[in-house]
Amino acid sequence: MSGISEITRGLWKENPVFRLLLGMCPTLATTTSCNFAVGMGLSALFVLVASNVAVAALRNVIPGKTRLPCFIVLIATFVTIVDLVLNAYVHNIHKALGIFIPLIVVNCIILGRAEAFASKRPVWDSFLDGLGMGLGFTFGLVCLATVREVLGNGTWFGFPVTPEGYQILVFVLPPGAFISLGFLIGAMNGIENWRKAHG
Amino acid sequence: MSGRGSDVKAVLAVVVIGAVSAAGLAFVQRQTEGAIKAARRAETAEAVGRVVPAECKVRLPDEDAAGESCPAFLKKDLGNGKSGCWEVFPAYRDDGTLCAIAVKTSSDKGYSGRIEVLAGFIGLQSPETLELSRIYVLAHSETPGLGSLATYLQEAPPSEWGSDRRKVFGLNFFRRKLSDMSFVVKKASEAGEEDVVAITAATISSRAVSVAVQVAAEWVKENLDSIRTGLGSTQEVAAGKQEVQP
Amino acid sequence: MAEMSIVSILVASILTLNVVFARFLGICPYLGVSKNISTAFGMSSAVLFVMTLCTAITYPVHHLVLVPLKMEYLRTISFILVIAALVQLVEIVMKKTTRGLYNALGIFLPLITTNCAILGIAILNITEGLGYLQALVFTAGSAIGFGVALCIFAGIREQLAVRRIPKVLEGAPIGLITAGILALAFMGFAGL
Repeated sequence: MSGISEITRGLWKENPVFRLLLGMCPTLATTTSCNFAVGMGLSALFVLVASNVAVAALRNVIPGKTRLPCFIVLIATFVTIVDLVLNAYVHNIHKALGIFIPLIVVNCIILGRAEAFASKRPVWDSFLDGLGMGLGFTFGLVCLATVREVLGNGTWFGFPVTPEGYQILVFVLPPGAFISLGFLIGAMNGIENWRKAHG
Repeated sequence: MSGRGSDVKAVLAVVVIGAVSAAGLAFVQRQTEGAIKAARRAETAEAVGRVVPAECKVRLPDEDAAGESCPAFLKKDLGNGKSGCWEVFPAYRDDGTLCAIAVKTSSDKGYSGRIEVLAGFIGLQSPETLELSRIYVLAHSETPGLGSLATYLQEAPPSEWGSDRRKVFGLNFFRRKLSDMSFVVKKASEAGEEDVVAITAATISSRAVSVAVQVAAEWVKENLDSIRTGLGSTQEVAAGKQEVQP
Repeated sequence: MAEMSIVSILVASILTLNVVFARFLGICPYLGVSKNISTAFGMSSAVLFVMTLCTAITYPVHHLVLVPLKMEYLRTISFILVIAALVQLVEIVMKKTTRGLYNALGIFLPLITTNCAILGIAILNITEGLGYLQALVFTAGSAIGFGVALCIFAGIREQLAVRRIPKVLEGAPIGLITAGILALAFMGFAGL
């Protein structure tokens, strides 16, 4: 598989948010604004790539019986690194993402890729896979955040886009998160079906 | 037994990876420790700077020298036997005298729970001159948008607030003598000069903020003398002197 | 929250700050294990049991081990390891002793390890500065709230399965939209 296709796979066809339906919790919680969505996405991307590389590098050393605890320790280490670095250098994003930074550890995407892919493939392939999935995750987050921020707050990445008073409040609230994501996935399904039908 | 052997190896692998990871983390933690502390202090200093007048210079206590215990003049009675500690941040004039203080206060009575407010006080010479300089909402989970505390309060500097207390909630707590305030929250149509005008459609949030500020204001008013001696002037603070008279 | 009474914490964690609808925790199992009410109930019971047990252990781990040693940064690693280990242990014990219960709940157990609600609540206990009893009540309440959300949702889904929905909305999308409407309903509790 060529390198590019590894990456694009994670971006569209196997997009973790819209197609694999993984990592729902941070998706719903951190998409009230695109800035936070990017912060979350990139943090998860770092952990995903780092853990994929680490697992792939150690795949012949980690015994099969306790591979899950080993993966978990590695993932948790990288998550803690991200937590510390964000706290030190981008303090306001750290505050905004709050509890969802340590929760990257239980993001099914990361453990899933480590188990299904990185433990069986060489380092470079695993790196690309992590990159693709991470970018796909970020892309998914930004899509949802765009819908929620534009409709609910009238801004995009903080820049005002709609006139005063045209915001629909519910979108930045929990119900709006669920409903927006539901319709987005529905739309994605529709696009996929159309593509399949038209070759 | 090969089964046992591979079991031991399996567990050993986890332990080794764990140990290496922990060591790596200890390293990263030590590298980032300073930056994290600095970021937190900068955040606090910025918040305090908002609620005290420009001529009052914020001086945060040195974290390591402060120690864990709460000085007597800052003790807070939480009811049912528990006691807490008031968080007070002093600001001094260039000549070293106490200029203003910022008190962190909170109320659990918000619409969606806890609201944390930083309240700045000036005119610390006597209860009659005591004045609220400004407040700043630190944390809340209230409904954003309509009735949002952020919209009505803080981000814009006071110079842009105008003078309509119905439009800008922060004006209710801006440069107001405590003796002129009733801290009673009323709707715009019914509020008198001494009352707090509620944010439209957000009476509960408004009341929570007012209660939080009122609690802080009453504590400051009652303990003005011990606060002044406890926080003293810069020279006393620097010399490590701490008056602990109640 | 540390200054609230036990009863308020209980009510808050079940209704006003519901772990699924307000805190966005536990969504994956929420969407995956709610096809019918009996599995929903099974999952909720398993979650209640494991979550409370986990809090009972992670809380002292943090306060009695990590804090004195000034190793709070190891919290994420140690908590998730405790959770994973506990789940394994529970599974083994259940298999040996209460076989019937194991057959009913056992399949949910591995899923619970990656349930963000468990780790999330364990961490919230610490960051909100709760006391031990408060933490246990908060955890149990959150688990009950999760169960309530899950069972209501399962009930609705059972109904949805026999209705016609647009093809693109089948599965996850309609589930999410339903969850959104439920979340809207739960927001009504906020005034409590």
